Amino acid sequence: MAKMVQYKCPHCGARVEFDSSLQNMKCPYCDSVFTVEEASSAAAQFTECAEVDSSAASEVDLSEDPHAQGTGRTWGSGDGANFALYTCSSCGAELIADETTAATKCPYCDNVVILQGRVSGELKPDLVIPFKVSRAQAVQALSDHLKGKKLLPKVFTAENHVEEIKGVYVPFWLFNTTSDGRAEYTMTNVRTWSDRNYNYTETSHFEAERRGELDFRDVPVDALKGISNDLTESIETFDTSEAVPFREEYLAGFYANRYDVTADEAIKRASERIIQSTAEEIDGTVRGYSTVSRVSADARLRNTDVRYALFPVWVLSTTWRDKTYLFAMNGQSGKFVGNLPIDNRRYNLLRGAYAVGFGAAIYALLHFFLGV
Amino acid sequence: MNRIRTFSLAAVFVIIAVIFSVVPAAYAYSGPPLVYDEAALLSADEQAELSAAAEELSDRYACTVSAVIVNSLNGYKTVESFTDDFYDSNDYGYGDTEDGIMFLISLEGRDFHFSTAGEGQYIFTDYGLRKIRENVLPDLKAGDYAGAFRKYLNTCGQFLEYQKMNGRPYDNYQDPNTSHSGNGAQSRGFSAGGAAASLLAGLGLGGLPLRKQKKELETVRAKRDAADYVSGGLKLTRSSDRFINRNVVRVPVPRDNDSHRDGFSGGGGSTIHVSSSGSSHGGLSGKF
Repeated sequence: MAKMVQYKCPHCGARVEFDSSLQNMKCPYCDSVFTVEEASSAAAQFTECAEVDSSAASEVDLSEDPHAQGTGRTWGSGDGANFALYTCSSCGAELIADETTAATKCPYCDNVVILQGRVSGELKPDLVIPFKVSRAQAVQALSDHLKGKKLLPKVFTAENHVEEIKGVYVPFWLFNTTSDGRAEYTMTNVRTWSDRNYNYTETSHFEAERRGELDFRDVPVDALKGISNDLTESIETFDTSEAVPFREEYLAGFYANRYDVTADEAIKRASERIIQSTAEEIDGTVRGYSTVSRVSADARLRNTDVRYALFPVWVLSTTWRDKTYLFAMNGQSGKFVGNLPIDNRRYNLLRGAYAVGFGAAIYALLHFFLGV
Repeated sequence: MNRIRTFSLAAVFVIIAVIFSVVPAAYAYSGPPLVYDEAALLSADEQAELSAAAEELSDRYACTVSAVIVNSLNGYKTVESFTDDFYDSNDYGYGDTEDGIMFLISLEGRDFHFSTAGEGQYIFTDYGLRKIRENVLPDLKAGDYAGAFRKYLNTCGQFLEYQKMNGRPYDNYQDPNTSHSGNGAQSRGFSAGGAAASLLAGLGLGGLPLRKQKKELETVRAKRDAADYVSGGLKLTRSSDRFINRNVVRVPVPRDNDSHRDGFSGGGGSTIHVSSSGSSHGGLSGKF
């Protein structure tokens, strides 16, 4: 039994959304503001549940449906992906959501839709960092991001649909762990002195071993296959001290996904980074030598516990000349990243111009000062 | 014994050369031939032209500018000691202090050396000698000895003029005004090789600002470590350092009769050594 939740304003009945600047729920029509707790306690009054009978194909495997297969492909999912059918309680339209969608909007009436089954029970996140950066700030950050980049094709900026930026709660695994690290080093000390006839250089060789423990808190790894680790790591860090226990209400007005990468899979990436950091910390304890080089380093993780969190990310996906460009902004800190295409013609032109300019300057210098 | 024979032989050649050399009467130079070609690589015309130019320089600046080609070093270990002794034993140099510069080419080992003496040691600085070497090396490599001598005389003339005008030698001063204005060390011709090299350097250097601009387009980068999530400090549970071995390397201290005279503050000056005959020389050697 899948459940769809919407929040309605107790005063006017319109849909309400989480407002990032107020950090509260707000009705966009009558401007009523109420807390997340109020929205939750009054849920019975203004929550409409559209219950979908599972026997009536609520979870449809579209890979077996010849008509729907095309749709599945355009969304970039592999064969056998599970899609679910929902009915919008506001306008009655049929909604199709892929298997990770936890919150979305009805494409017809823009109604807020939260698929409760995707964020409850086992799938309920432990914590959520609510959006702090508003849509307007995100749009501004994107246009700032495109500004002043000389090698960016001009048409790219013109053809971009900045307004399609989406607020997405991205699922993350957070690892708390103690790293038991071990590293080996070789070192040298060099001493020089002279007498009447000779200069002497004495090199002493040493080796060292270090073991140490280092605690890590909330090392994040994104839990969504559809978004690359590079991208989510680029917008780090998320400050988990501002995280709150998860409530569905925070999702209202945003998109959200449930994880499709398990914690067991995600820990591989976390350990790579933890081992690197442990080794770097241990490096600092090898002191008093002329040269130090690390021969080996390893770390084992223990007392590992994992939490499931939703982090706020503003995402804009845009296709330009058959290539997809994905921009992301940390919805908490405002850090914005995204690779941009390069204008090759412009690059080559500039390359040539710089070569001639610098070349002429070098030639002039050589000519006047050195007489070449 | 060998040395004495070499120089008596050289002296005979020099005397013969003096007799047969075409010395225009207009120049007052008298002394050993300033262009001496043991291997007969220069044509009579070249010999005459170069000698005239060398004598004119030597007279005008009171500093002998000489160029020598020999077949071999006659058993000398270094081209430097050979040139110094050749200079000293054949009485090159102007005045009591024997001011002058000698460019000697030894064909056997394809060695060359610039030896400076007297005031020449300070007029032709280490920096200046490197400049001369740069100018003559392409011709030497191409086997155009007359061309190399022409460039050598030309550059020496510019350095001598620089010294006369500025009262200090041509050196790597930091002051752009003095090193530029009246700097005689330029050849005004256009060098295609220099232009190509400059363009190549420009291509490399011009890539730098572009690389920065290109990098601005790439903002997605994986994190290497988890340093942002370290809580508390490292607790060392084991720390051991072990001595393995020790070795000592010794190299002889450079001989202390090599001294260095800084011409002027900020300049490079000249490196001076003492030749076997006891007189001091500056110089620079090379191979071609």
